[in-house]
Amino acid sequence: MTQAKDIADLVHRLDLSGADRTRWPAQERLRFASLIANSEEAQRLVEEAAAFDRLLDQVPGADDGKLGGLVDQIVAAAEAEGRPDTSNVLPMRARSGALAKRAAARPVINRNTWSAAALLAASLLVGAFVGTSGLLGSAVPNLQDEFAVAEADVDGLDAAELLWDGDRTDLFSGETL
Amino acid sequence: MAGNTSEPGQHNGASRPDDAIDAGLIARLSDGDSTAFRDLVTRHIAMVSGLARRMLKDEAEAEDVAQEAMLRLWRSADGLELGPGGLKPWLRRVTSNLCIDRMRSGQRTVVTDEVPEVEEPATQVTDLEDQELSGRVLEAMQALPERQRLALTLFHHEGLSQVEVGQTMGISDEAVESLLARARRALKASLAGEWKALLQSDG
Repeated sequence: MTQAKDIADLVHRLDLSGADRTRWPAQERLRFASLIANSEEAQRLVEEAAAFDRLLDQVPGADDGKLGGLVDQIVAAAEAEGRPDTSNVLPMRARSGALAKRAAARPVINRNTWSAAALLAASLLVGAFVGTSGLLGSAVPNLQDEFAVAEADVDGLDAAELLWDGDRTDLFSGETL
Repeated sequence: MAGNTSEPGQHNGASRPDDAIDAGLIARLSDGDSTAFRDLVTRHIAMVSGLARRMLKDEAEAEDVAQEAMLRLWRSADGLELGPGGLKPWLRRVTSNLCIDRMRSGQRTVVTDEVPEVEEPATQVTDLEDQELSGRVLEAMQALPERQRLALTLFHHEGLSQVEVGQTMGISDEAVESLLARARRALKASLAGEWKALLQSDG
């Protein structure tokens, strides 16, 4: 590997992680150690990156003098809000066990089951009534007529219309149309 | 490198006792002990507030976000399950998301009882120069796209590793590298004058 390549890689590392080599991955520290020790250009690059790091350190963070007041403000806001109602909420660890117990204690037949059974019985009665009253007899011949018309339409289609897209005929290969 | 308000996620290897303290406080809070909440806020407000301050344009907005992040802890303490990194990663993620939401909406909550702040007069010229420089660097940071800004803030100021930045932002290590490199290059271009002056003053 040429020194020019090493220098380019060092510039990239400095762009990523800055000049503080304790923040670099261990293998990168090792890789660039001798370059930085022996190359004036590498040393200059590290110094420039260190100056840039110091520039970034100028960005103000939290104002320590105001933090005490902020703590009081947050605690007051929380107390004003009150604790969330957790009377029905169990801690996560207890929750799964409690759910299992609740499921075990639940009766097998509940109100929903009875509603579904009643609905099923009612539909059975309606079906029996319609079947015995002969209401279906007049509807069935009309349906047969409609099926006959539909079959005639399909017979009238040309094979070329079904395979109209030559590029996509493979979609139909092996299928019975 | 990291600001004085930050505690690196896992670099110092001292996160485990902190995690145990946080877990104990959260358990007490779940049991209805409100004083535990004050302790939790006191322990983490510098990190939460610092992150929000670096991400957002003004201090009052950062305080709004810090408050909201802490109130989410208050509301969700009962069901909160901490990962291996303890409470800090959770708070960082909540704060980051709140900041990004604010930046995207372009709005801030109006705080009706907000009192205008009186700037303390700088006693020395150097203080004033430092303030001006801080202002310019903050302005340049805030001109970055939000994801670049967040990645750089988490890595440089919060002291997170690349992997931790990826976990916080929900992106890959490669994406973090790309964001960090682009952020620093953009800032080098926009702060070229300040950077050069700093190098010259170093001699």
